[in-house]
Parts: sequence; C-alpha cells; structure tokens
Amino acid sequence: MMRGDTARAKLATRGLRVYYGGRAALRGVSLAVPDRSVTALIGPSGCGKSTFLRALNRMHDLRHDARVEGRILLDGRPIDRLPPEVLRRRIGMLFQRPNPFPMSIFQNVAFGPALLGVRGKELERIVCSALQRAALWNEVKGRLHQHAGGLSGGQQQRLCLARALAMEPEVLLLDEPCSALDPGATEEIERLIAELRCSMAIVLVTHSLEQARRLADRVAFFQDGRLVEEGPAAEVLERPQQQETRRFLARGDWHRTCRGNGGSQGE
Amino acid sequence: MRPLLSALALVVSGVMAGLVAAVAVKGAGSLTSDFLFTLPAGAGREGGILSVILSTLWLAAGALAFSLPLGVGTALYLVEYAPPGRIVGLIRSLTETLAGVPSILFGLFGFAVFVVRLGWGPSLLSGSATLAVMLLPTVIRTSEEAVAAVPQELREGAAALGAARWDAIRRIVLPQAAPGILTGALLALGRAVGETAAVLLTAGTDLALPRSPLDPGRPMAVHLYILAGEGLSDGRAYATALALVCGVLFVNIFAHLLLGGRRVR
Repeated sequence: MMRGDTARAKLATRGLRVYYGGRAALRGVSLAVPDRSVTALIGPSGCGKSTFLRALNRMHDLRHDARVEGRILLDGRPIDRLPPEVLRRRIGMLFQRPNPFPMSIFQNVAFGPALLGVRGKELERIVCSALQRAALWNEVKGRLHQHAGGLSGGQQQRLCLARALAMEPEVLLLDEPCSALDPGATEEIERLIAELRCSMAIVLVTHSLEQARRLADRVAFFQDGRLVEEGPAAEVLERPQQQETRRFLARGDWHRTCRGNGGSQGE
Repeated sequence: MRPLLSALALVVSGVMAGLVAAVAVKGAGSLTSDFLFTLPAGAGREGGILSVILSTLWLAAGALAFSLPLGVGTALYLVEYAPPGRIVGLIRSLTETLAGVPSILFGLFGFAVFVVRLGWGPSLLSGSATLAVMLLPTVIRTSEEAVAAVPQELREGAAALGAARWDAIRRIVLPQAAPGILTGALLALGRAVGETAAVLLTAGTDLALPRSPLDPGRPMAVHLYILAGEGLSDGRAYATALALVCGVLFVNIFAHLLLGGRRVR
C-alpha cells in the first residue's frame, strides 16, 4: 500500500511485530485500514490475523508474555499516546465466541457508558438505541432486566455488538464473530456488518472466504505472521498477484483447515 | 472393589455419626437455653457459657475482618496483576508452608508479636489477629481459585469496552468470584470457631463478659479444654462441645444454603 493511503487511513500499522514469549507471531506488518469500509483479514490458522487484530486495540496488554513492536496510528496519531482505556472506547471489539457479562441484558449494554458516569434517562436512551442498531431491540424490549445468559448464541453475539456500539466506536474489530453461530445467526450478523460499514471502519478476521466475498471492500492475506498481499477485495480474491495467495485461494480444503481456532488467542 | 469401598465409606460415616452422637448423648442433658444464655460461675463449674459464646463469635468475626481483605487482596494481586515468575512462586510457596504449620506455633507467634511486642495483651484483638494469620492460607487459596475461575473472556470483554483493570475486577470479576470467596470465608470461619491452640496463648481465658476488643475472653474450644482437662465439670464440658458442634454445623449448613447447594470443598 502506498504512503498516501497510510496518511489518510483511519487506522494504520507500520512494521508491526508481536512476540509471545520469545516466539514471533507477527513479523512486521504494515497495513492501512480506510474509514467506512470493511477490511477482511484472511489466511490459514496461526497466520497472525487475530494477533494483528488484537494489537490494534492493545488487547495484548492484558497478557504478560506478549510484546508488541512497531507503530499503530489512529487518525494518523500513534495509539500509544492514548491511555489504553480511551483507545478501547474508540475501537470496539467483538470476539469469536459471544461473551456477555453475567448480568441483565440492560446492564450488559449499559456497562461501557455507565463506566463513563452516564446515568438515568440518558443511559436508557443509549441502551435502547444500541440494541436497535444491533437489531436486537424487538426481541428483548420486554425483558431488558432478564439475565443475558437466557439469550440464544446469535442473540448473545448481537448483544455484544450492541454493547460495543453503545460506546459509539469509530472502529470495530471483529474476530471471527460468526465462528460459533449457526447459518441463520451468521446471516443476521453479516447484514449488520454491511449496515455498519457506512458509519465506521471495520476490520474483520474471517475463516470463511465466502464471508470475505460477501462483506469485504478490501482484503488482506496473511501467512506465517506476514502480510502477503492486500488490496480491493475483487482484485485480491479474483486476481491475486502473489503465488502464496493464489495457492491459498485455490486450496479446496481451505475452509476446513481454517475452521476457527477454538477460541485460543494465540493465533 | 465396590463393596469394599462402600464399606469403607460406611465406616467413615459411622465414625462421624458416632462422634456427634457421643457428644450429643453426654451433652444434651446439660444443654439448655439457660446454659447458653447465662454467665459462667465458679470457674465454669456452675452457670452457663454466654460469655464464652460471645468471645468465640467476636474472635471469629475479628479473624475474618482481618483475613478477608488481606486474603482477597493477595489473591487478586496474584491472579490479576502479578507477572508470572519468582514473586508469585514465592508467595504461593509461603502460603502453602503457612497452611502446614501446627496451630500452636501460630499461638506462640501471636503471643510474641501481638500480646507482647504490640502490647495488646491477652485479648480478643490479639486472638483475632492470630487466628487471621492462621486462616490466611485458606482464604488466599480459595479466593485465588475463585478469581482464577472467572473466564478470561469476561475480562477481555470488559477491557474491550474501555474498562480499566480495576473496573473489570470490581464489576465483573469480584461479583463472579463472590460465591467461591464466601465459601472459603465460611470454611475459615468454621476453623476459627473451633480453634484452640492458636487462641490459648493469645485471647486469654477470662470468663467475664468482654466489653472491648482489648478485653480478654475465653473461646468455646478453650473452655472445653479447661473444663475437661481440670475435671471441673464433665457435663458442662460435653454441653459446651455439643454447642460448638452445632455452631460449626450451622455455619456449614448456612454456607450450603447461601451457595444454593453449590459444592463446598
């Protein structure tokens, strides 16, 4: 990607490296993520795409054995100038498996805004609007104060999406958000991603080439901790420039070998 | 193998039931509400055990008041903050060693430090502090397990929303770990109520009603030890024992109810 794009990008990395213990999981990745679009990260299991994603909102800070090197820029400014809490309010995240908090539906969505001191009517308004944007409102409006554990898997994932949207993020990181969902729930989430694309930058790690085809504006192909190729989705998926990308896209058993990584974060 | 093992289990249950039954048979005659609610007289030969019960409760409550914040705090540090390595290993092996130390040594330590060095004298305060040190390994271990059992996904979910580490602990981790921490606290409470050696040298043996934390008091187990050891009153010794057993039983049943039938280790 050209330098000019990096400057205009919503989010950009330069020479990003991540080490677990002594092992390099990401070996120098420079990628720009444009605003109001979906950038899909594809590649075989263990290629570093989740590791890359987690570096963007500094989730590696939670692990004692992870070390991150290189630069990450949000709106052209290095993210390490921001406190991680502030950064993560601007960059929302959805995980492989839905992880609702063990509390009520309302409390789940209210969690983030409540941390900032929002209370009362204003909080109710935010929760309601976030649930609507996540297409969950009609299903839960009569039982906002029931435990979130009573929702189906797909509903839980949309609840987690609502929880993230309640913070009004500028960027949304999606780490194989449908890998634990059935086809119906997957379709619902994909429809939402397509809608949200108009208002924020979305980075989507996916193990499904079909999903990348359906959603992505740009595609980045990772292998062995390196970014092999990236560009507009149609170009990368249909006319890949690199030998590795071609081989990867051609492999028939791709879908099976890359069927998630069981929720482990070490990819 | 199965019949043999069931027989073994039966023997163990039998021993347990026999123990309680023996205490119950010998103590039931003297265990009246009068006995529970009047002050002892004649060095325990006569009267009841009101002051003894109260001393026991104060000691146990004091021990928990010291050991819970310390123990839960240590557990949170070990699980949530400390980088894995030498310090964590050191704290773990120290607490494990502490758990294996005979309780009379805690008594001796409490006597040297709280009673003499800090000048608290033989008192409920010294006794509570000594018990607290003795209970710390239990509280730390059970709290640590409870905190570590909270799924990492929940911490990540909270962090991803911009929650600081302490916010995640306060709002997600602690509420989730509370039942486990409570279990540990109640186990510790059971031990504190029944403990003799650690308080023998630190809480005093005074039979008067304690009026402040700096007053000495005689806990039930010590009362029992003195009554039986000096042959003052067998009936009252057994009645005290029965009251003690009932108390410990009550704490355990309460723990089960509170945890909604969750398994108490």
